[in-house]
Amino acid sequence: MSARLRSFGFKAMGGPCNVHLWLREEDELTKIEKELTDEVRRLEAKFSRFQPSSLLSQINRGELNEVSLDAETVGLFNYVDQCFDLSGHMFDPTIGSLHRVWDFKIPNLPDPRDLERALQHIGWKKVNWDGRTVNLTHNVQIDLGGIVKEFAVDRLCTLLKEKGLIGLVNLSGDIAVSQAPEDKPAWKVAIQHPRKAGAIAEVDLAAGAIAGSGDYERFIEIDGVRYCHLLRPDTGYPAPNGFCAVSVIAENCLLAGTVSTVAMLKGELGHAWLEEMQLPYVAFDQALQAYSSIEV
Amino acid sequence: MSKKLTLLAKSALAIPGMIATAQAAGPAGSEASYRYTYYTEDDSPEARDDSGGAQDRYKIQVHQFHILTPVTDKFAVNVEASYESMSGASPVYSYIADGQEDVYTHFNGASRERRYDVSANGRYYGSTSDAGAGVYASMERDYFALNGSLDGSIQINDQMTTLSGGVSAGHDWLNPNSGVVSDSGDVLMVNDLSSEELEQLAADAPARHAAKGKTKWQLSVFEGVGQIIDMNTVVQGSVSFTYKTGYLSDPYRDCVGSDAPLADNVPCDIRPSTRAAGTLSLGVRRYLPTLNAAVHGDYRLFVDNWDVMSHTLDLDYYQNWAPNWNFFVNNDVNFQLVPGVRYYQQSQAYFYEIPDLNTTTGSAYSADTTRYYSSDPRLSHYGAISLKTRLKIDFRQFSLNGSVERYAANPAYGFNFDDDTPGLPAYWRFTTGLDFRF
Repeated sequence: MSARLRSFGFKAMGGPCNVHLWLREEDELTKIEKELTDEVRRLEAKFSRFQPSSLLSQINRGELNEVSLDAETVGLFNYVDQCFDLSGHMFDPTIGSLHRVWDFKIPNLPDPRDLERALQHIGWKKVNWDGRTVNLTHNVQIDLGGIVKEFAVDRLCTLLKEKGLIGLVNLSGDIAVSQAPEDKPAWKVAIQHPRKAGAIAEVDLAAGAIAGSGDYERFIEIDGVRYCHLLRPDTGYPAPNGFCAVSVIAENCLLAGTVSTVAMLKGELGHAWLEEMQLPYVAFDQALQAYSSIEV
Repeated sequence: MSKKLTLLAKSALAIPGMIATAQAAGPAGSEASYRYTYYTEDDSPEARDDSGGAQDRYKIQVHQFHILTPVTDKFAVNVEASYESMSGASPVYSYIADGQEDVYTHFNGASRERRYDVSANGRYYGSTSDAGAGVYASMERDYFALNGSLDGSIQINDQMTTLSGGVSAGHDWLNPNSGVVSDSGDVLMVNDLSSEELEQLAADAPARHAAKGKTKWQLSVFEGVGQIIDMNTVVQGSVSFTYKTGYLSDPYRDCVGSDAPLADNVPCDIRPSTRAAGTLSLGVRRYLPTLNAAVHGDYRLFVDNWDVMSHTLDLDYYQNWAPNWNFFVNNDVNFQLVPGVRYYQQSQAYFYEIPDLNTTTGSAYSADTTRYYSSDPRLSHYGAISLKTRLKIDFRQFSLNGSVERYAANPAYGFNFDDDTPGLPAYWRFTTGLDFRF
């Protein structure tokens, strides 16, 4: 029985989500759509720092200090812990206090005293993660925004694989595929131009995931200098002299997203980080010169 | 793959829900492997070998072949075969000679044997469970064993806990080497002897004669549980129970020479016809991310109704090393070095005793061994220490393996400072092999 390409979309985690599926006649699109959207909603409700009833909000309020967390949260926190160490402490999910002093809607830099105060509430080690429980100190707050969207993409892709379905999941530009499409050897995935609408490059994705970070999503420009929303936990500022956009291909979206985010945060050391990680990547510097380990 | 990427990828895949369970279950590809093992025991102790000199003890060469192949994404078949060739002298009885205080052991002459083993099992992989069934056959000239097994496991508690269990049953047929040489020069098996020859055998080697046409049964059950404590720590525990019935004596244990004083009081080897044994195993695996290493610790308690109780402690350190060599191409070579130590200690079976043939005592035994008796050193109170090192080198779809082990057994290692057991072995074991994934 031949399969047809079907698509559906919804909004989740602050952005659009699109799913493209090769479905056979007997596959029920509505049922699959519900299952996938339910999974994204579940993760959003669990890990949103804006919803007071979420597990993450309970953790941030200290209500779950020294209480054993569930296996999924333990897995994510262990992953964060590993990222924190391996990235030289650049990947830190406790930088939420910086977002309260940076306002990317007005072209003003934050007050240095406010910034200094915010930095005191940053530091993954202040979470006291022991592999099973947290004990938040120093009024620190955890923000899993840097990984939950990518994890959601992987979860949806995993659900597709478990059903034996061929599909592509795109959650605000973070993409994973369950396997190559029926009619071509790979999915064509466009990479967002960092300075204007449209694509700057295109890559083939037969398996795995691609995720990107860039200074074009939220930023302000002051005296010709662009300050983007990717803030370093040590300085409270975005990294100077770094890439303006990085896209990484990996076996899963979580890995791709983390490696690309850290490449942005590392500034001028971002290129060395990408080379060290040995994952396929495409990156552009401020002059839009391309650095790539693959053909695009 | 760089070390950092390896660590990060492992952490990502450890998050529950990251891997499609149906996909992750079965083996993704096929694997074939070959292993060669050379096992060599130290010579018999010259001072305690009653032949008056040191003899070559067992030397064994083993060739093992293994193939694992998925038939579907949920079903895989595993087949193993091995061929062993053995030669060397082995201890057949121990005693304290008249006028002596030390224990002497009599070793039989060098023998040559071959063994063929084959096993096959199929395993079905569900999303959070698996179940397997297997058969095993082992054949020597004097022995044929057939075994069947069923086992399964299920993951619960967000796949943090694994429960496993199984049952196996086996039947062995014995046909000992009679030691009688035919006119054509072949050594005859007990079942091939004429009635006259059997009569003579009953007088010369009663243990071999007693084993004629004998069989034994074995039934085992086990239950296990594995628990992931955190991403770096797994603990395991299991219990098993084994029941054996049939001819459990060793047909090759000989009697003390009939010309020795008190020899008439010493039977060859008569063990109970049933043996019930239970084991408790506990283990912990701790991954050390900063060292890219792991520590495995295991303890095993064995108790049976022959009064044998043993404790085994294993400690292995797994050091991984991915040097990320890049010469002309990306040479993705990974090394794993596993040094380890094993300590073993057991109490003696209630019917184990070394006969004291000093005529001044009037009796070879201090305990009643009229029903059951053995001087087999494997049933004595002793301890053993084993030092081992294994190296595994992964390159593309190949894995090269090598290992060396030094084992020594001694009553003193088991905190038994009163007895002397010269028949206990000490050996070297060398293994090398190649795995190929395709």
